Amino acid sequence: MPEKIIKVLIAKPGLDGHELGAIVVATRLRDAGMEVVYTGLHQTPVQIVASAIQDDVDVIGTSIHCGAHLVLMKKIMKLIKERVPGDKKFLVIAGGPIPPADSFKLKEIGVDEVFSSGSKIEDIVKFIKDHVPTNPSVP
Amino acid sequence: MADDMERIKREEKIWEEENKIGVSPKSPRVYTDLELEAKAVYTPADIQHVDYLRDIGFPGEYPFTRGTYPEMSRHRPWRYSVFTGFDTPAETNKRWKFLYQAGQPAFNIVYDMPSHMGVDPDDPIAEGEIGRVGIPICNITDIETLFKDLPMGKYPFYGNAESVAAIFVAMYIAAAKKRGITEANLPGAISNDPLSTAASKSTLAFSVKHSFRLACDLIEYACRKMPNFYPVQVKGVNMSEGGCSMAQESGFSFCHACAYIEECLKRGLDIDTVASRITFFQSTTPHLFEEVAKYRASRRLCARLMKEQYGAKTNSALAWKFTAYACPLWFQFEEPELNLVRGTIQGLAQALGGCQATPHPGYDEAYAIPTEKSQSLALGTQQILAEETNITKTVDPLGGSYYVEWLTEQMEKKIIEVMEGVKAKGGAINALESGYTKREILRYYLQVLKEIESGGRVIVRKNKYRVKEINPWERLSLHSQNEEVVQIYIEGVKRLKRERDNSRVESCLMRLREAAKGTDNLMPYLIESIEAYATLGEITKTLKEVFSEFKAPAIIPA
Repeated sequence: MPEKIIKVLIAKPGLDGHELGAIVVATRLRDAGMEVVYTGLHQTPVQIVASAIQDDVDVIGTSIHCGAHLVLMKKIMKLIKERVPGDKKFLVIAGGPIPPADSFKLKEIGVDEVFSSGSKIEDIVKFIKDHVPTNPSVP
Repeated sequence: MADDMERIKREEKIWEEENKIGVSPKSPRVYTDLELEAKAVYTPADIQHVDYLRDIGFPGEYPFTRGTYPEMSRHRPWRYSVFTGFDTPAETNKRWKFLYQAGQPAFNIVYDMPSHMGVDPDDPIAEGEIGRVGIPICNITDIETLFKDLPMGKYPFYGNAESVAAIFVAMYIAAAKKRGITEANLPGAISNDPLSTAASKSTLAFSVKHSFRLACDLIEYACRKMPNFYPVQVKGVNMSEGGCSMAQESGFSFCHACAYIEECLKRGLDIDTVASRITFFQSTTPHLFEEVAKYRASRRLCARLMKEQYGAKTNSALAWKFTAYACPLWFQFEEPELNLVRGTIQGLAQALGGCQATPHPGYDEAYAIPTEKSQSLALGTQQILAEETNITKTVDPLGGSYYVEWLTEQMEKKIIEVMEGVKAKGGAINALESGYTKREILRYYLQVLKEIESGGRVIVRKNKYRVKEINPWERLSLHSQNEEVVQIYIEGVKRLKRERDNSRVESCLMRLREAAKGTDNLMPYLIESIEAYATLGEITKTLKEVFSEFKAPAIIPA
């Protein structure tokens, strides 16, 4: 059986326009064989979680440069809990200039990994491949 | 003369062969940022067709290759500054006082994201973003707080804002009036360039078309009533932060400038007035010679464009004026202090390129909002360049360098190619709306990214000479938000909305809405609304009832 293609949503919450990081990660994940959906800018947590459910992705990767990573990720994690059917699991990762103390707080609220400035693409790819949840495949 | 050139070329060939230049594995080919090969050395033969008086000339004279003004920074430094804005207007006012004392000849702010998008601080969508990457500016009292105990009008007020720039300038005009300063005497500049922002960064509250209309309203208003205010700074720097090449930066910028000019001409302004008020906001990478060539080529090209295409005549309309910013894309995360060194080299390129103003980034810019310490170091870097190094004693000291003159010429050609690409797509606005401009920028950046990933483009500590033990977070004491003052500020906005004369606000907004449906210049309606204590968010919402919203194209390049 062929290996299931990993599907990733790259999402840009917040009101800022710093999207180069998101675009670079999106292209490199695609190069690594994943299927990537990019939300574009200025997405609310509600829109992001709805896209993740609708596109049936395995991974939600948020890129946050607006300084509001704690507020925004809290909202996203809460929405995932409320709106996602029980048997569906997302791997949730966050990126951006996030200080170590805040990375710790993000993991406490359920974010699986934080890739702060200076992270290597290979590490992101490896983390996703090692941790992607096995979801029931959609018929 | 021609014989001399032939002799030089012959000798150069012999020299290359003797030294096996460009033919052995030890001497691979070397390329410039223009995707052109750089020779090992340049000679008079490389620029023999350049006519000094026609193509280079004297500073302050057509075609302005050597400088915008006759003496440039010989007697007065360019206007150095740092962008400031964090937490609240009151907190930023304290930093401004520090910078004023440190000799900053400008009042320079950076807006937070809700402000850029026309969202009020008490709007739930802005939660967590108030005062984070800049300052919240919501209503006239914020501008008053910002200038508290500072001499408004003494130095220019600078800021970057795009589709809501007209609203911020209305606040500045209204606040100044309360202090007895007329708009005719108000100095300053605002970027007000939704076109370049649509290509990259995308912080637009309204669609390209409607942002453009509002931007032109401000340009027209300033051309008629504010002789000391520059109402547009075409933001090449936005596109640079989005990854564009140097030629794209200037090329797209010129296309966007032409769009503003043509709209203002349609509105009955003359070319000498409009062109003299358009300035450019460019980035600077650490690639010193290419950058100097970019600035020199842009001056020459702008002068020729304004003269030949639009018939501009006055020096102030023909001379390209620019602010330069050390592009934060080239400030690195690894070993933050090295950004001081990069910034100094970028600053040197700006000075040698003949800049008029330089807001300088903090070395901690890649991590957070700069601290007082990093801002002092940034301002001091520019002050040392301008006043300690003797580089300003003569104008355009790199002029006449065979290499720099050759590069200037090549740069000009590449910029023209970019402009022709836009023309073929039906002009600036079509190129933006179809995603062409953004796609072109990303195509170039992915090339650069490959160079970085392969090590072809060295970035010290990032892809070469890495040191695992250096933990940048431990080396910095970063700015952290004072959440208490931000909460108090948000409460203040709510109080203002309760306590002002709300029927007056409503009637002002109603008049604004009606005017937006027609073709009147909206500036007087904005000023009237601001004077009634209407907020940025309320004005933006009112305009959105008439204007469409911007949707940034979500592109993952192939």
